[in-house]
Amino acid sequence: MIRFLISISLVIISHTTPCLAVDYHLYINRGYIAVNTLDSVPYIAFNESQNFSTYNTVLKLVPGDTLNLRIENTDSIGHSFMVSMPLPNPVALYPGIDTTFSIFFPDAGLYSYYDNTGLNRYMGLGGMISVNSFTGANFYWNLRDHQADWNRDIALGINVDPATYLADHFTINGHYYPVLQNDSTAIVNGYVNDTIRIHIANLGLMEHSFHFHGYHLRILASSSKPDHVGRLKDSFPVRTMDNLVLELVPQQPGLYPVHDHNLVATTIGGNSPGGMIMIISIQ
Amino acid sequence: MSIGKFVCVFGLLIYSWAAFGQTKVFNLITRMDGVMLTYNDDSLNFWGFGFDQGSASKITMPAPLIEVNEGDTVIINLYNPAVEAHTVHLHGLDVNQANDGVPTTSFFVLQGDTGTYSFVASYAGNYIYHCHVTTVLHMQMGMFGPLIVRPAGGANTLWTGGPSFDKEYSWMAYDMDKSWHDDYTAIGSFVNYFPDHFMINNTGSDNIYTDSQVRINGLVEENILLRIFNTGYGKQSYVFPEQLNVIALTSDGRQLPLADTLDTLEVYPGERYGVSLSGSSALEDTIEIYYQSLYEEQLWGMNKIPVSLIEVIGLSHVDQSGLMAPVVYPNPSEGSVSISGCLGNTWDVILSTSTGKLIMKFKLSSEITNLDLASLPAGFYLFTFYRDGERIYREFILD
Repeated sequence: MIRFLISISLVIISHTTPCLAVDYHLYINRGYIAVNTLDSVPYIAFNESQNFSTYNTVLKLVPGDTLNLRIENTDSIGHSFMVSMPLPNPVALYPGIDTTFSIFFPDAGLYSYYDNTGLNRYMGLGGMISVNSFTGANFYWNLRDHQADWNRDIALGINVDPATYLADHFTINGHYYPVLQNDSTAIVNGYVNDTIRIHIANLGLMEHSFHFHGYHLRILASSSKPDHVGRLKDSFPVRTMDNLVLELVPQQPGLYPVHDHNLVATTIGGNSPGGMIMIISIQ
Repeated sequence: MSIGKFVCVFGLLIYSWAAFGQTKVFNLITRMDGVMLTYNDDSLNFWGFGFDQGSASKITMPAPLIEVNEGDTVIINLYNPAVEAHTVHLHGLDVNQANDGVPTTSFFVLQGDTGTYSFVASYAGNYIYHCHVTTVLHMQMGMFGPLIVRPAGGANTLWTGGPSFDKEYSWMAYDMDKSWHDDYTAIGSFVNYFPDHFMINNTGSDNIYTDSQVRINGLVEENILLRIFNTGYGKQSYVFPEQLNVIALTSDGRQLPLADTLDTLEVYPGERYGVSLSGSSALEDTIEIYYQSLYEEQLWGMNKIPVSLIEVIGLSHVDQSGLMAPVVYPNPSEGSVSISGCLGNTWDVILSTSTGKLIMKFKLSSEITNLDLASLPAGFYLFTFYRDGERIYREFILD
């Protein structure tokens, strides 16, 4: 009888906490992001295929999973792979070489992975690792700011002066408003009383302050301000390298904007509206 | 009906009237031709909202306070005679889409039109109203103001059943690039934003020292509520004096799950806070506000706001009507003295030496009166305040 109960318990535990080795195969790809309808600037991203996309793959795990990562550096220069935690040291990624390694994620949380050499993170190389057992709707916002001339210069190997940085392009998952509205991974779409999670990683150089129209959301996780967890707010600071998880339980239907309240970031190439704005939809 | 029943019914009616809210109507007007003098006497063009009073309408930056109670039905009529379309966005009030004030998802108020916004004020707290047309420009030009929702019935607390306060201050702080105000058509690009004016309400820099709406004057052990609104485009770091007990209680119109005792508070664009201030001993110090860029926290500018807490020994500081009685500060002083707490009453005041020799006699009725006593010799002095048979003494030391 005791053996039976232990067996049943093990089955239940293995069913509720499916700790696994999860394999991802990423490629470092160079390409371009659009900065307006006529122009684009160089960008680099971690993608799941050899086809360039501005979308850095979100690595999705549950607590207790081991991430087995294979990264092909298709670029002509060396890169690195760093995780905000728990990987203490960067992994070198040599040009033209496959690199395979594993990371154990015991705890739920949102983490950033990125290339920590030079300005490669600024150029786009960085994404999110989402570790959670939540089965509801998830949306992912990878924030970056750019000065278009910097992207062009850095891609050509020209040095830039951090003291003169003046961001003129503001993107979420590599897209600016209104193009961003086509990104189903970012644009919140749900129903009244749904429980929705929004995962935000700021891999750019600037801080942001996201304001939600129509709703207050609860902070579920904040890497920079863990003591703010539990707060119910409509405006959320997102500090540089911050990982923030918000919970939205919409109480009313509607089309509502969400945008940076540093309103300069709601422009693209100096024109309004653009940049870090989206219209979310609740039915 | 017996008198007792009548009193009960009447009481219930009064209670329900207070508890379940009223309908409050605010008529706003827009203008794009405002001119004001800044703290350094610069002439500043601005756009804004004002209360519509016909030909007497006047806009201000920030726009006038809209104040309602939890449960009130609020109606805002916006008349727009200005040449551009405008709206009212009710920032943080979670109104329905039709009343959200975003032109693409609700409606524009075109030149000559009146638009109406309505909502029920659901949560006590600090909010903002602002135009949401080409927001980066219209907000910078001054089209924003504070909206405060008080608990049902107008209770003197931050939320229903929350802690009460003896007095409160509202600081709407923001950064401005004057070149946008001089000629916004010449800025070329909206990323060319290089702020050079750092404001609290409609003042800044040294002018804060004489602004009774901004500088904090209180008494030891008083509970002071500070409402903070960031309507700028950068981060504001508020650094409080060590001796001041500072607790953040609310943010964005909601009670914080854990009261946050702090010495520095960072407030990002669009955020609001409700902060409790108190001191257990007399204090003369400043709260510093650092206005910072969101890129590498580059310092744009700062303001210092005086905080003065006076210890009153042996005299009741509140008269029977509940109004503040006069306080004299700083004490001791090197010559410059302020008297506050006289608003709403007219006092006859006598200043005498400690031996009873009359120095001056005058009347006071303003919130703050500043006196220059530097010509008097150092020593003990006595202010005597008379009003309707009431007499209050304030001892005072001149260093």
